[in-house]
Amino acid sequence: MGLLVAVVALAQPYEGSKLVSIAFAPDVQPIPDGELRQILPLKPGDTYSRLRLREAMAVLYRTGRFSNLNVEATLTPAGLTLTFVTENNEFNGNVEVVGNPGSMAKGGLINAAKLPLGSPFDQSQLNQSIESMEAELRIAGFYESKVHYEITRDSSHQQANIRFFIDPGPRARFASPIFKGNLLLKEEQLIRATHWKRFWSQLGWRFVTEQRVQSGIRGMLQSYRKREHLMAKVQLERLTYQPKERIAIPSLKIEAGPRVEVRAIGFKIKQPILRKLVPVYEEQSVDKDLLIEGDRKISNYLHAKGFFDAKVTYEVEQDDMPVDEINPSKNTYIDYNIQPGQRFKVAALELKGNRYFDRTTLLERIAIRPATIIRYRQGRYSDELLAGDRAAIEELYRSNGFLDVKVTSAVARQFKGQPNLVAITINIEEGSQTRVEAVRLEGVAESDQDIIQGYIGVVPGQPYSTLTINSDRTRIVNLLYQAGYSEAVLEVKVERGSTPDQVQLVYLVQSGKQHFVREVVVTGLKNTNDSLVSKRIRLKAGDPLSNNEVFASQRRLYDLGIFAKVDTAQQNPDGQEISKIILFNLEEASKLSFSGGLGAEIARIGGGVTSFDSPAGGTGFSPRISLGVNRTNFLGLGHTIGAQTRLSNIQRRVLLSYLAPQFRDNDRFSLTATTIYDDARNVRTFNSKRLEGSLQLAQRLSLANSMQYRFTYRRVTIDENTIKVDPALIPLLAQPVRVGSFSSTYIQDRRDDPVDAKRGRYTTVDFGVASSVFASSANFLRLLTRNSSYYKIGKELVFARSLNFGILAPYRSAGLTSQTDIPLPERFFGGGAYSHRGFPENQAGPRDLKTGFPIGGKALLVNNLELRFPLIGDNLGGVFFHDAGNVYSDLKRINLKWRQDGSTDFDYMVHSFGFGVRYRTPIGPVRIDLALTPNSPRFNGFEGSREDLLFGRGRAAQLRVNQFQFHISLGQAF
Amino acid sequence: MIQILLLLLLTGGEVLDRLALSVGDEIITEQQLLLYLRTAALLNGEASKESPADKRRAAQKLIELTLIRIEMQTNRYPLPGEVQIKATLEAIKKQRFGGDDAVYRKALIQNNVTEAELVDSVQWQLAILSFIEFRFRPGVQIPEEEIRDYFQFDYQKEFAGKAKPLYNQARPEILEVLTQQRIDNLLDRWLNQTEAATKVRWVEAVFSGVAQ
Repeated sequence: MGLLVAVVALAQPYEGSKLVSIAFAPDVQPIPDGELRQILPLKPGDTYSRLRLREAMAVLYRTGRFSNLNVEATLTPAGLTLTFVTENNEFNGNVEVVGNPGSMAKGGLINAAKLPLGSPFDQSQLNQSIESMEAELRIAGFYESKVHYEITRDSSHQQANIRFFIDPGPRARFASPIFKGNLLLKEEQLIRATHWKRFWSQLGWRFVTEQRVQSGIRGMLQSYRKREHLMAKVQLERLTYQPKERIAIPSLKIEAGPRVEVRAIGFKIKQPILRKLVPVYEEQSVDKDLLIEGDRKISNYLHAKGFFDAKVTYEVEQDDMPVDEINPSKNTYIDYNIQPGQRFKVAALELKGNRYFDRTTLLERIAIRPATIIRYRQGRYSDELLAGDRAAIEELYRSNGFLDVKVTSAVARQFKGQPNLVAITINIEEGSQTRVEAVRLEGVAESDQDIIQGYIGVVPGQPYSTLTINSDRTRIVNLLYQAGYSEAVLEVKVERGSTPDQVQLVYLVQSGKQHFVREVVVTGLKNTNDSLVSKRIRLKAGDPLSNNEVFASQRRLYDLGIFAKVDTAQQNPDGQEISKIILFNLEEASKLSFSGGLGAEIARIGGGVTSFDSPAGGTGFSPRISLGVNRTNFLGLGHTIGAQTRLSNIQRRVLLSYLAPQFRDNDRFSLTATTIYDDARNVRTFNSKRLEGSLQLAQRLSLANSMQYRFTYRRVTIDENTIKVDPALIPLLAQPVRVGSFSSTYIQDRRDDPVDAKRGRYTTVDFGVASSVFASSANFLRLLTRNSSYYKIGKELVFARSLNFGILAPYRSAGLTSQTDIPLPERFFGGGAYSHRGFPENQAGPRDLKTGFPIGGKALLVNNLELRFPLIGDNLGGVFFHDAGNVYSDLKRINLKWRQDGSTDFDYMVHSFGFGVRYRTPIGPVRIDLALTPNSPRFNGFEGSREDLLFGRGRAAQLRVNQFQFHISLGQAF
Repeated sequence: MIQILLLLLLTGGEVLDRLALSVGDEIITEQQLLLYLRTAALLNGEASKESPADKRRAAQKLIELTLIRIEMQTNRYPLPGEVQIKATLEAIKKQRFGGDDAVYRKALIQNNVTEAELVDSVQWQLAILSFIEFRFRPGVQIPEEEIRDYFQFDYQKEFAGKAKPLYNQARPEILEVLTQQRIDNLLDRWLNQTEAATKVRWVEAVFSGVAQ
């Protein structure tokens, strides 16, 4: 018997042995020791079996951390010791490209390598990566490129960083294409359309780029489509490279196809309308989907016209012919056959049986409309619309607990005996409303019950609604995700309540495993300070793994504005580990950026510098040049220094700035220091030189609300040889001014689009104190507010309004007159394209009584109203506007009177009415406004030169601000 | 005394098991390959062959079984119950070992297979058979014409020595034969497709007979 047991032991020597210890070799494992022992299904004290060992090996392998596993055993009288001998996997880290041709984006090549951050690294795949990158380079014209790589290993994080070196070689140029097929156009015409030749074919062929290849094909298609060959096909078969000449010859297969004409048969629809309804023209191609879309649009068009029974079908002549057989010289007709039927009018729309929702609420959700005088002259109805409306009403009721709701409809023709009238009745049988009797939470630990309960929106007694349940599900699952339960699921069971119209809800939480952050690894930094990045990644080792926090960290890094790319990923994403390494791979953006611009201003900015003629401004032209340079990521701190200059014949400006975004690592704050030198003549009364320094702290309170706190110190000198006022006032008004002020601005921006708002509100309140405490030569308070709001009327109209109000209040001004208590350059000047369009730029308000030049005021009130509407297509729009208001000499002088009391009275409300056009561009609408101002101010002026004024020559003149003003500018007025 | 001696002989570090293959996230260890060969030997009453070539053959079979297991786990196919496993095990004992428990246990020891491992193996064999039935049988449709053709041309070849019955008598048997052929084809195709889409990595040292 003893021998038999011994034989058993030999055959299965360790089976049933007691495990005394488990070790790992090497000692340092990629998974923390505690976690490793936690996930391992074998523990010291367990009984060993081969089955359990295999399970343990499988668990270790599923972590994704190991490429190989061996298990060794040592048997001692005390029991069995197992040693897991491991070899580690590696994962993709930073992928870098060196030597890429400047014209190619690094990102495209890195994507071609297909080495996603954090995924398992397989060196054998690198050759495939090289092939893909070389293919990408070939597409860009680099047919002789060579790529090799270098791997640097970060063994502590099992990461392989790969650097690809690119030798692009020479770039191929295009050569004369080989054309096949039925071209219809001349080859020269097609080549011209490709733009593959430089300067209208005068300077040879351009270099090959993918973009040029594609735009060339598009250009050829465009040529056909312009000629209404909408079925034209252009296919690039290949680009053949000739290494000797370094040229790539495109082989193109072209089928011009027939000229397409769309016709409406059986009902007259004007050609421009038909072209709008059938999207083949807009999309510049013909396919079944577009033709069906055309069918639908024509039907809707007819329904809107009252032809509720209209039937539309289409047929394409030559439609089923093979492309080769279609005769391109013969037209193809797309015929929409229309049977309009009788023309009706929706005389009545009745909703019956609705008690829970009122008629207005239901009408908001349905498309059918009874006839109205202006908008729906025939009403709106079709069987399709009616079916959709029934479904919409049912859905509304169901989502509010009316599970048995039934909506039916009846259409009565010949309403009130008239053959063309239709009455529609929608009958609603609401049924009983199901309410929630109780909500039970299951699958959650006692300690977490209260937390999750706080996220449940459904309360007993409330109507049963799948919408509310779904929103609860989203909230709870998000909460669990944030706590690291990335596999969390919430199942909602609906059980019968104690009465038939009640249900009980069971929220069953299956949280799955909680995952934690093991470590955060940052790669790709070259010049940036490590701490700048680490402070913005708020995830720490041991934290629950929240993807929301990963994305928030990514956003904070992007917000620094110094990274071209912030990639983030979990290392070993599919590995079954408890804790995960989070990777941030950063690509620093180029540090220097340059900007430049050329422009010109045409407005009433003219008039001589020394001449006293045209104090209200003559038409003038001012060319403008601007240059800027920014250095981002200054000293690796993420700060930006910049210099901007602007030069025109009315302004010379240099601005130096230093921006510290996310000041003191808080993404709600930013600090800006600015120095400005400005030599300007934008107020025609004087030339001033301004030297200003300011320090501004901006605070984002919420998505829409922000604050700015600013200290400004400036010195403004006025060239007394340019000031155009009564000579007696020159010594007072031409004094150099020092202003030290502290100001604060509140901004609330709830506009849908800051460039061209269509709905929302915008409010700013700016309040400042200039005080001798801040070394200011004048003491005054300044308040300037603006409130604008935008309302959409129907689909296309926008009504916009804006009110601007400002006051300047001097204090501790004993001994100063109202002429001198607020220095001339600090006063309000108003009028112009962005203010009151009844005035030229800065021409509103009080004027010098002798010369007639504006001298600014201490109060400002301007109200703007605009109705914005589309004119032609999507890009050209128009506005009607009314601007009212003025710059007033004092707060107390603000009034609404229409009439000017003599030529020395400027404290009245100036009204202007006008029309403008807007052309939409990617940088905002280009604007031309024409304004008529019936009560534009009259004033005393002077005809003559400065010398004439000083020596009592020249003569007084009665002048008036031109009643017609024009403004050309960029962006909406407000 | 002998036991103690044997234990002392075994106290040095010995490789108990090692990774032989990975199939997706799953692994097949060297001991699993050997167990497969030993279980086959146990059930067939043959001596176990454990050469590198035998291991490679076993590996190919185990890859297929692993792919099926992954599919079963992903789609939550049911596992056989204890009663079914026990009944199958009893049938094996009866058929292979004449119902003699002592002979059965001796064979287990001789083949170095534990009873738990045999039960596990039986459980998975049953599970896989039922998976194949569930997964592929519903998709098989045999046209009547094909059954007739088989009866007419192949029946005699396949059932040699049997008197040819009437068509209606032979039909169920033929239908089952053809269905099984179709199921096998579908299974083969599915296995080929699934294997092509799954990353399978071989640790060559295990198959070249090199000890680590």
